[in-house]
Amino acid sequence: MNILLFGGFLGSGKTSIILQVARYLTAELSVQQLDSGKPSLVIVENEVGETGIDDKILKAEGLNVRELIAGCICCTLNAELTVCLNKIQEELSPEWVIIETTGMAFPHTIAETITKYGKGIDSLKTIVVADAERWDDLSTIMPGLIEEQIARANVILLNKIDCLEPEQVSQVAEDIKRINSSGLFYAISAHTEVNPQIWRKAVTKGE
Amino acid sequence: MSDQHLLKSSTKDSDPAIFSETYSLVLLEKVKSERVKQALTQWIEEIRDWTSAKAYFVGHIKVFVEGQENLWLSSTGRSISSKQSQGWSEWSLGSATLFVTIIVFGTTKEALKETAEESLKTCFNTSLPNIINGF
Repeated sequence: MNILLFGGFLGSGKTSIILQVARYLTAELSVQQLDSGKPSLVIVENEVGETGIDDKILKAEGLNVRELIAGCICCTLNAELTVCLNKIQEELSPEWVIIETTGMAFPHTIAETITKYGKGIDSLKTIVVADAERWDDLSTIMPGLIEEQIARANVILLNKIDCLEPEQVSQVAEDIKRINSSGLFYAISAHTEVNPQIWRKAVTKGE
Repeated sequence: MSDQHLLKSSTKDSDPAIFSETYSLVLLEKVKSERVKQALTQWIEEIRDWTSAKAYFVGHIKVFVEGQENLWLSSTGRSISSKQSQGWSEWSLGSATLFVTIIVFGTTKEALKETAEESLKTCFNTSLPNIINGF
């Protein structure tokens, strides 16, 4: 299994981006179904609140979604996620698994748990979505959370750049690269169709 | 005190309030789906205005209408994003399920629940008077 672990603060656009990545994997790599009839792409949704919404949006697109609902914001369900992943591997053995974490989770700690206890994992990438529109607010109000989410990501997607002027985008990009200089960085707007070349480099490169 | 300072004070070391509910929408007569969208958009605007007036910080506001067609509305307290299934605009809605999740920093679960429920009731009663059961 190749795992794409998505993180990023609440409202940063993770679900919109995952929809596009899922469409890319489905169209470009023909991963809709294996010959056995089992799905080759499974999405795991870790949501907060008693009512899941993101899973319904993804299911409405015909995607195979497993949900893990956390009762409170601090519950990132590390252990449950690992059990869920191992079950997916055992039952479906898909080529790709996309995991959407809650907006308050630290993706790198989840990645560590999965890497240590997960079975059948060929690769794992952490992809963090940063909110360009609220960058100033978030980096003022919750600097620790935002910086830690970004610091150890393999890929950083600065989303909603359509909400800022180009020079503001450059400033935010500089801030992010100061936090994480080694991760791949792309500035995008998931409101529109993102260039598949970006997904090719950000998602499938190296697999 | 600046808004950002207020926000920082209200969010530091505190968990957000979460309002997460499922509603069955049963309409006494079929209405154009756009009227339901307008009511829900107005609701999100009211929640947004409430958080802004109190200097609370919105994690996110998400709404999903599931039926023969689907509607997805979301906001972080600024603009409201909207996505819908292909046939949504032409759909006359008789029943559907409404899923909502609101996450706000700086307030209590009780205050958020009271505001969200009262506001939803007002928006439905204003936009779709005597049409939706239970509101």
